[in-house]
Amino acid sequence: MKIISIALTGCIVVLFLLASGMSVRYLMDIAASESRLPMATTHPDWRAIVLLPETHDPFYLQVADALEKNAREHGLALEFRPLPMAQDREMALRTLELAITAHPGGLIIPGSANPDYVNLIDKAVASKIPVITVATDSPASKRQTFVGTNGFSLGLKAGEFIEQNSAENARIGVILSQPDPVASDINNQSIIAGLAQALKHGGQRRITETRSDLPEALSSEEITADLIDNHHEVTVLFYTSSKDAIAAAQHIVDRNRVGQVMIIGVDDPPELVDYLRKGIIAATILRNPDNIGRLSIESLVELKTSNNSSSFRDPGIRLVTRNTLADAAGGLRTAATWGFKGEPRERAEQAVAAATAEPPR
Amino acid sequence: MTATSSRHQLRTRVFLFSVFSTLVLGLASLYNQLNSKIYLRGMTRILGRSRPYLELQDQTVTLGSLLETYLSTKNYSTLKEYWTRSQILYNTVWDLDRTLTWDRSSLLREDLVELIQSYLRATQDAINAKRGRDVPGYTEAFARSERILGFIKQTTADLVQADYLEGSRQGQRFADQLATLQLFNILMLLSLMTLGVILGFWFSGRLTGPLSRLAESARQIAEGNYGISVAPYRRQDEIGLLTVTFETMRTNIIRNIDELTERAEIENRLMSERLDNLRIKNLLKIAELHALQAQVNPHFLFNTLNTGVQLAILEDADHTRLYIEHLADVFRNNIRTLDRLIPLSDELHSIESYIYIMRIRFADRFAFRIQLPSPCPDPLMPAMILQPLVENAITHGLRDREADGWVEITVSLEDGWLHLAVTDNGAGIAPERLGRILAVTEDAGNEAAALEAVTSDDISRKSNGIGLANVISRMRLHFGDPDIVSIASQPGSGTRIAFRLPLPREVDLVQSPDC
Repeated sequence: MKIISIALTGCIVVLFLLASGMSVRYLMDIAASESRLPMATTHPDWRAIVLLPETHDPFYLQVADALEKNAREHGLALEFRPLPMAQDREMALRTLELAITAHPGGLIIPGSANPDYVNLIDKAVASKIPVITVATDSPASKRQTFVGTNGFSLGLKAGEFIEQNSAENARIGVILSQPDPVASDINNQSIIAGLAQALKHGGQRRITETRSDLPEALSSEEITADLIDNHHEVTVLFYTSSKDAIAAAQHIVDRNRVGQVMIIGVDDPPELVDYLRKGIIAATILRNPDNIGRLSIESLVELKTSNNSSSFRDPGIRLVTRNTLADAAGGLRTAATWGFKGEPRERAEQAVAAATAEPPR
Repeated sequence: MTATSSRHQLRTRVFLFSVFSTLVLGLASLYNQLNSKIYLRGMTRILGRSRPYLELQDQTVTLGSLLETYLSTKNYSTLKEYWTRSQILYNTVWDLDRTLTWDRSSLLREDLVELIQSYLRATQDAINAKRGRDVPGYTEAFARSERILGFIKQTTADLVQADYLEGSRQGQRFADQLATLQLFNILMLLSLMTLGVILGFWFSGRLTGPLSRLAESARQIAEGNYGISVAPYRRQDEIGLLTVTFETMRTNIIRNIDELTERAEIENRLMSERLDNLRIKNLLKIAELHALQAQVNPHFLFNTLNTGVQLAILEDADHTRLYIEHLADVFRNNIRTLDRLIPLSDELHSIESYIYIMRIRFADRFAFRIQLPSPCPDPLMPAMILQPLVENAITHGLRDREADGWVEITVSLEDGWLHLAVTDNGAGIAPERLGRILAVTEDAGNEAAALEAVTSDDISRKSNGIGLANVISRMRLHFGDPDIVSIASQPGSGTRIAFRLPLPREVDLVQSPDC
């Protein structure tokens, strides 16, 4: 009885010590974390403002992710703000003006041909704020560097694939995305030019439909539905937006026209990779958002330190098919970092796993 | 001092236990207060982090109103107020912690500071233009300031939103941590309370256990069980002192009781001895009384007998003279004080005179013999012992015998005892009478009455009044030996009455001249 009492008391003492120890530890952690709030262990050396199109295009999310990752390595803090170029141009201009007035150490923005937009870029440069345009360019402005895929190269790469993998008399439909209609006009023209250049020696292949999606929701799906349902002669569809390509793939499955329509997309969001692995999407052109982010930050750092940088930096492109999916796994791994701004990282990791998995026979 | 402090160990322990309990409770309370303080500080920081920026926005808006008023009225007091306010705003911005961090709030705060500084420059440009009467200039600057004010409001809203989101995240994290902390606190308090109960139970047991054992010992002693052993208690505290004092008290009580018992026994013995003496005196008085009753003026007889001796001498009647001389001796012995001790030789001398008379009186009817050891001791003994026995033998035993009767007096030494015996071959004593005699002599309480009865009986039987019971009682009381007498009697064959006397060392084997 005495031994049981002593053992019981010992257990309670141990419980008390454990509970009090854990309580004190938690309290200290809380106090420390609470007092640590205003004090980061490392501080950025300077700051820059990044304005990216207010879109659900995963490409820009990957660009943002890459920007932030590289910026941290250079002690640069990035402040991201949405730029509603397609939705509210005034608001977009006002956002840019606000960013300039806040006088950051640098500006990373999409390009646009809008004169007011160009003027603001010039005003920023005049205020000694380095300006980098990404993805799309404002060639008329005094921006220091453009980091983005050359539209002509993109079109050329897609055209070469179509020439090699489509029927001799294939009719080609091109659906161009328009995050910024003004900026896209220039870029889209380059894409079409590159595509045309590739198909110059492509026999009877012709671009019969060129559509631009609208900012409103479901517009790309409506365009795709129209092309697939009403234009049966069109057997090749090229999308400059991964979101549109995914919607088209889904529509083809719904209409039971898999194998009859070739879809070529861009970028590597998980759903697109999944369709690629299943053979519903024939190919995708990676615009390498990682490189865009890295090169943008490197250019900004060069401008900050030496006030000098290349006016154009090409991140490169790469075409990936179902057969080259495994080889492109390294490139696709960029999707694993695709957790920016609330996107579930698990989805990205699932995409990588799906992309690197052995394709079904 | 050390003894005093050691005596107060129990009080010190109780005091320390109370202090310990109070300290533990106090620490638990303080710990709880600390929890609350950290919680409040955290929540205040989370909830109040946007307040400075909203105040900055208010100051900026106020400044804008003053600017607008001045531009429309050009009032000096408004300008003065504007300068004051702008200076305050400038100082407030200057005093802000502008440490750059990675979080969005920090970047937005930096934006806000830059925007406010731009705003101050714009408003200053407007005022300068106004004072310089540059209408387009102040109009443009005012419009610019209004645009910047819009940016400030937007950035403040973004900042508040960012702080709110960050605050929500931190608050959630904080709440999660606090929930875990609360769980551990509850566990800690529950285990602390349980430990307190166990410790209190143990301590009270340690405190009251010795007292309970002491109380049980006291109860046993109260019931008269003084032989119990008090449970040992080794601590030198109040209970230890109490235990030692209790044990001392118990020992003293036992000693006192032993002393009282011993004293009572002594007193009892004394009382018994006194009682014995009183009984002896009483018996002697009774015997003397009966002797006196039996005597007919013995002094007169004694004197008369002496005269008779003189007369016999004158007449040359030697037998008569000798007879009268022995008779005088018998009378002299009879009137002798009975409480006086006499040597055995005197007693034998007296009995010889008595026998002489009895020989003359009964001629050859009875034979008398006296056997003595050689050497013969001569111890002191009560007087008038042998004569009543011989008298009884003649009167009762040989009364009806016409011839061949004999009485023998024997003195012998055996095993360190002196044996004195009177034997006859008379009628003997009936067993019931012998039993009655012995019973009466053994019953000390009724001795006097029994003696009275016996002697009355003897008197009635023409005895000299000093009967067998009296003799036995006196011998028993004097020597304190209940087995001093032995009577062997066979009806029709005779009686033997023997006394066993202790032989004093100094008189051992002393040859008396009379023996």
